[in-house]
Amino acid sequence: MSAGVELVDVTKRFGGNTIVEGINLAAAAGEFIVLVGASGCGKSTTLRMIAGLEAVSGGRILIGGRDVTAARPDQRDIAMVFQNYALYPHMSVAENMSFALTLTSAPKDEIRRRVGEAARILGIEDLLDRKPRALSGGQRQRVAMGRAIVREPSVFLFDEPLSNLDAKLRAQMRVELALLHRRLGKTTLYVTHDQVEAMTLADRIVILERGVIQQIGAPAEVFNRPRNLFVAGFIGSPVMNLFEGRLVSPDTVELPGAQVRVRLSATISAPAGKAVILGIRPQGLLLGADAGPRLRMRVKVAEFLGTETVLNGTLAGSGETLTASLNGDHGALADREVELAVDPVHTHVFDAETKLNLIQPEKERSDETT
Amino acid sequence: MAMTPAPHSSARTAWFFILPAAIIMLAAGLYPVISAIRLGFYDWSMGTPWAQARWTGWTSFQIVFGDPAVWRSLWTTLKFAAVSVSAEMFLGVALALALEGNIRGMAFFRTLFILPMMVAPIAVGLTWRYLFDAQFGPINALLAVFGVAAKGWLADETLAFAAIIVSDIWQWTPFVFIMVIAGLASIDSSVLEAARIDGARWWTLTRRVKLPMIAHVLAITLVMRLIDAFRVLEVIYVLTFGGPGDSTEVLSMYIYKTAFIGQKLGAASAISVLLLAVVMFLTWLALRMSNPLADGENGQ
Ligand SMILES: Nc1ncnc2c1ncn2[C@@H]1O[C@H](COP(=O)(O)OP(=O)(O)OP(=O)(O)O)[C@@H](O)[C@H]1O
Ligand SMILES: [Mg+2]
Repeated sequence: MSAGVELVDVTKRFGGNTIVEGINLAAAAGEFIVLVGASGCGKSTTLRMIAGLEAVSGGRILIGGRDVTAARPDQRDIAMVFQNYALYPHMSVAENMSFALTLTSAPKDEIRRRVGEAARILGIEDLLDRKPRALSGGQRQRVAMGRAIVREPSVFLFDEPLSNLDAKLRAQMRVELALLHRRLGKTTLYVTHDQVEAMTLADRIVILERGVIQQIGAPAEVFNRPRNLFVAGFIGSPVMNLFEGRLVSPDTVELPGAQVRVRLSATISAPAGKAVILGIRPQGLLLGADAGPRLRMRVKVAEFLGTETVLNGTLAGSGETLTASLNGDHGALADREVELAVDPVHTHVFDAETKLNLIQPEKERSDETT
Repeated sequence: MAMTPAPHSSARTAWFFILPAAIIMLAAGLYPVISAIRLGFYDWSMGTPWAQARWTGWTSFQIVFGDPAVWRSLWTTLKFAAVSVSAEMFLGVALALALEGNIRGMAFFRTLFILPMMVAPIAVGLTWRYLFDAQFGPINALLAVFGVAAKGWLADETLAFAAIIVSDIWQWTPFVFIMVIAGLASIDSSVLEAARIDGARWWTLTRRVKLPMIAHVLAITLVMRLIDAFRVLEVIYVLTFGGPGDSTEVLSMYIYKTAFIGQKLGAASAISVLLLAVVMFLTWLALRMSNPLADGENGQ
């Protein structure tokens, strides 16, 4: 069974500090929701409130339609995987996985069957008699997931489960997590710092900043239509280039420093002369023969990453930082000055005051940003 | 985590640096033990030159092992250690579990609870002697309030034995308390949270997660308390001097009397060797049950 999770005006205060501020979120049954945000923005706190490890200061939490705001963690039908795995060091792998079941009145052979099944799914059948200290980080990670699976909960909660693994193992576990989710179909709330994890695993991404939800949307949506400046700067790698500019016509922004005019992919209904912030994805800068306005870039460092080259440098004229991501090997461009065309599809315009995206305003949620 | 074996040269370098300290530790630890054993083979009185000491061979040991007073005091010691250390472990663990939370004012209580440990044993003995005093002691005064007749606490064999146990519990429960508090504080809180999600309530959490996770702390605490309990002297010296009769005459009290009242240092040394053997055996047993020094598995 899988169950939806609903947060209604959930708030958390520690002392006088409001850490989570009136969060509203509805995860459908079986949905994979990823929470991202800067360190300290309240991701773990939110997850811990759903788990029942932290009491809410206000609002309600519903799991499968049932109000669990005051319920104990074990009564919420959830399982949680911690960043440091939190295995019981004195128990074997099998005991770790079966601990929750031994506390219920589950019959012995039923417990053995479920532990065996989870171990088979995760490929840890050979490790069942070992103690956690005799396992590698990746194996511990699997045991932690096994412990969650064995309980057959309606909702999985993950708090940065892969962040202690090396890059290769993380990529491998990420794929396994996706497969596991497809196989079990359980509602999942997943906290991560990792962009790739967020983009690849999520049905919907929730971007948090200082305890306030900035945007909720599918990966493509938050990437292509960031609701505000924060989301634009947070999602995408390398980080989006941002410049102060002025709207000169409904579809053109002028960058006074660099004395360039950049064409947009859409028209904006705002008075000419309005102060805006222009965002250009590093992927939207092209080294090519295209006619039209060019940005002149002083390249300082050119990083060849195998399929693309990331140019780090400054915008000639204004000296603002500029990053471009070009296909192919352009390592030779280091210390040179290049002219880059701008792909309008990768441009975004934000109101300099409200920081909201002027191209794709989402009116229905505009009251959430302060 | 697997440990990669250090290359030979670096292991040798390590020995080079550790050796001086190790030799000093060994010498400081072994010298008194060896001289105590050696003394057991001589007949020597204090204040006489060592050169006049007479070699007696195994005689002292033979006398000691045939002396019923030795076995009786060993039995008294065992009873004393068993009762007081069990009570201290139980109370210390219980108190630590009760006071580990972050409730307001707990810091004050924690400090209060460890005060007895800081008092010199002689002072503890004197304090309890006053408390237990048949005529002027507050304990009898308190009992009088409830209409209970005054008791000669230190004059009755059973009550005197109880009295030394009470004073030991009073002084050493705090030691167990702080060891366990420290152990509990070192438990990774997310493990406890995982257990709560798994459905463990207080008792299950304590018995199946917390206590097993601090098993090594409990073992080392138990060993230290046992060793101390077997060597207890000062409080008994002040409180009962082994009496009434020989009811509270623990082994170290008997050693003291043999050495300084009986002036039989050889015999006293021989009994000391017996005490050492018993303590070593108990330590070995406790460490075998849960060895905190080994890197292997512990705490079942
Ligand atoms: N028990 C607590 N008491 C007081 N403040 C707390 C407590 N727990 C968390 N906080 C504060 O709440 C804020 C959010 O913490 P939280 O752990 O939710 O952040 P996070 O988004 O998970 O960050 P990270 O990405 O670094 O894990 C932080 O500023 C933190 O200092
Ligand atoms: Mg966190």
